[in-house]
Amino acid sequence: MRAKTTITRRDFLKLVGTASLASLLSSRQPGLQSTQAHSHQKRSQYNASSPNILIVLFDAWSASNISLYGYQRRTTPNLETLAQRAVVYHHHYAGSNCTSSGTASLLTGLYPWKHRAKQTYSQVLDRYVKHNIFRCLPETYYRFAYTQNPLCYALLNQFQDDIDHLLKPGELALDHNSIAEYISRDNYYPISSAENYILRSGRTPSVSIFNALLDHLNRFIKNSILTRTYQQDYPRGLVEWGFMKEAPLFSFKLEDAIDWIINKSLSTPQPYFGFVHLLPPHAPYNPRIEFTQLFEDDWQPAQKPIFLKTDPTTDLPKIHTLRWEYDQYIAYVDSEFGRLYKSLEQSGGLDNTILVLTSDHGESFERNVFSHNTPALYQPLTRVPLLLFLPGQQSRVDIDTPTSAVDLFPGLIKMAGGTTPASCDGIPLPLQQQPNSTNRQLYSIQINDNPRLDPFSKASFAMIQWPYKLTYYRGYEQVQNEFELYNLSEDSEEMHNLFSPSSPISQNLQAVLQAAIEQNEFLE
Amino acid sequence: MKLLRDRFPDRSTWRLVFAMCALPVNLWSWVLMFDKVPSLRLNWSAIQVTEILAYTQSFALFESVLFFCLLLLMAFLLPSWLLKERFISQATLVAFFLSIWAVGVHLMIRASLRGEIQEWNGPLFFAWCLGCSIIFLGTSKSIRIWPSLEKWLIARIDQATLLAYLFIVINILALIFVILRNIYLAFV
Repeated sequence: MRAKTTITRRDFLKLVGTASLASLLSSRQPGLQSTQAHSHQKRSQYNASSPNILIVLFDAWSASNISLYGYQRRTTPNLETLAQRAVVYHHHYAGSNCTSSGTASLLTGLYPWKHRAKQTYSQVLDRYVKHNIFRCLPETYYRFAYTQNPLCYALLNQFQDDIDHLLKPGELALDHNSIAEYISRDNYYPISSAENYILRSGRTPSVSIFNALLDHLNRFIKNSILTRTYQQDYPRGLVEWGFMKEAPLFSFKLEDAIDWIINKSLSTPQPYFGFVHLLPPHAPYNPRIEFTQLFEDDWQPAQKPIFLKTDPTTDLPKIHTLRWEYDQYIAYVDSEFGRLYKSLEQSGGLDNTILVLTSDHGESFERNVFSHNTPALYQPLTRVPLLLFLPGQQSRVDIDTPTSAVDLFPGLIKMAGGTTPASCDGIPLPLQQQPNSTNRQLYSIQINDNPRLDPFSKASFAMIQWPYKLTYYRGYEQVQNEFELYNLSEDSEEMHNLFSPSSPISQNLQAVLQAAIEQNEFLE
Repeated sequence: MKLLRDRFPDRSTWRLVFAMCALPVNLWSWVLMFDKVPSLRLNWSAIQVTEILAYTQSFALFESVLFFCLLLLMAFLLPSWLLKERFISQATLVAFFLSIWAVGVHLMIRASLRGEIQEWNGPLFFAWCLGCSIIFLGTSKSIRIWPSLEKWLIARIDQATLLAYLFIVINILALIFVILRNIYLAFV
């Protein structure tokens, strides 16, 4: 028999298959398990006197639709009761009007013009990966995180080396159709982006000609089964995430996530820092059945000027219906948060825990602007709820001082006894009412249409220097260079644009904003 | 075993048919990626864009292989006169019309997402399926009736294989890039 001296085609194929399998099973890629980056071995004993911190963030929750903040419909009866023992921030602003930028601002304490996470690239610049809230906590803290939003998961994946337990979105889902997070721990974002391009049809078709259709059919069938199974309790559908309504990528029940939070916070080592980002009340607005009959009234909000001279014709009945469904969804969220609070309180889970309730951005149903992926930065899009439930607090504290999502980072780190980086844009949250500073500026920034690393040719900026809010729209097709100025203490609904190039207030604020933009638009 | 092997088309035809499977898959993939790459470059670095392109091209190879296996399976299961006897021409027709059908469905999905048609338009979808089926059956029958038509088709297939082979080479290079990149990330 002749000895083998050449590699045959079969041998080569075996070699390629083995090599790729080896790369997938290598030690840096744990595969199907949750990412548990650090063991407890490197930690010293936990210091029980450090408070636990639990951030519960609900996606796309506008303060403008919360009855606690004065909304016409009683969307948050539970919050109104719970707020009697909370610090309530009445003018809290998101860093942006979309998930990637807004959540990144919260987790890094930086405005979007620094971290540059945006809707089409949902990760921060490499230089800021270590500038995250998990890293700056004292070593004794156990850190866990969970999100139902894949955009937020891309951020948390960046920070995974600083998180002890990072749960994947699909692990609490009733159905999930994404595999990227199971393929690679360290190369997640390019793989998940490639997966979306290959298999998910959006405004442009997917790159795969056949498998994308099969994937779509598969998701459609699974969603149909799920919808039928849960139709009685969720007549409009479940909590969903995806590019197409009838074929979502993920389906959740909010109740499952709330139950998980309760169990996790009671069973996890202390002190802990938990960050949980839940999808509701992000669209589609699918509350549980008992909330689908709420607010059947004739109430309609006041008409407001159309945004950016867009087409004045709009389907008003459809917008009113969507607002109505959104309000019902908020009532559902309010109910579930109330259940979370009561469960934790009854089991002693709040005795040494700072519970934070907030959102990453708002939602709009006015001015021809629907939802939140828009250049607009009006109050419904940027003003979000913030409540702090401190251990042992028995009375309500109202804070009217404007605060920003970037303030949560230094505020919570200070409470935990950690060290905030000097480059942080925020200042610690006030815990008592203070006189409003007229010198501090807060920003909400939208850079989704701008090339990520480039100076800002197409972006929106809103600056709040109390009581004024100056918004600047730069480089859009309908408007190249436009400013809007509102006095929020007299005109909280932003009905009367006060901007005039000749007025001293306009000039002063414009100069401050332009200087801030120039300082931040060029990356070093 | 020999009986099973005889059910499959002659192996000498596999190369050409695989090339005809890879051609529409890759053409579609490249057209869509060319559409996406300019916007990708606004936010991703060159190496990241290359990586994404490599994943899509690797997947195109996988999809071509799957498509080819499907045609082999059809040839195995269906009566010989339908597919196996004229495997190159008939399988190419199946690949061609199936691709056209799929492109039509993609465009319908896009139109529904953009609000140009209602979300699920059953009559439009069934009309599209019916139209594609009728034209395919007519063409397939014509091939069997007119040998000169089949000869003409095979000549065109021969010409198209050069482009198909180029795509396949790119797919293989992309797959090698993906493997090496993941090995690099795993051990660095």
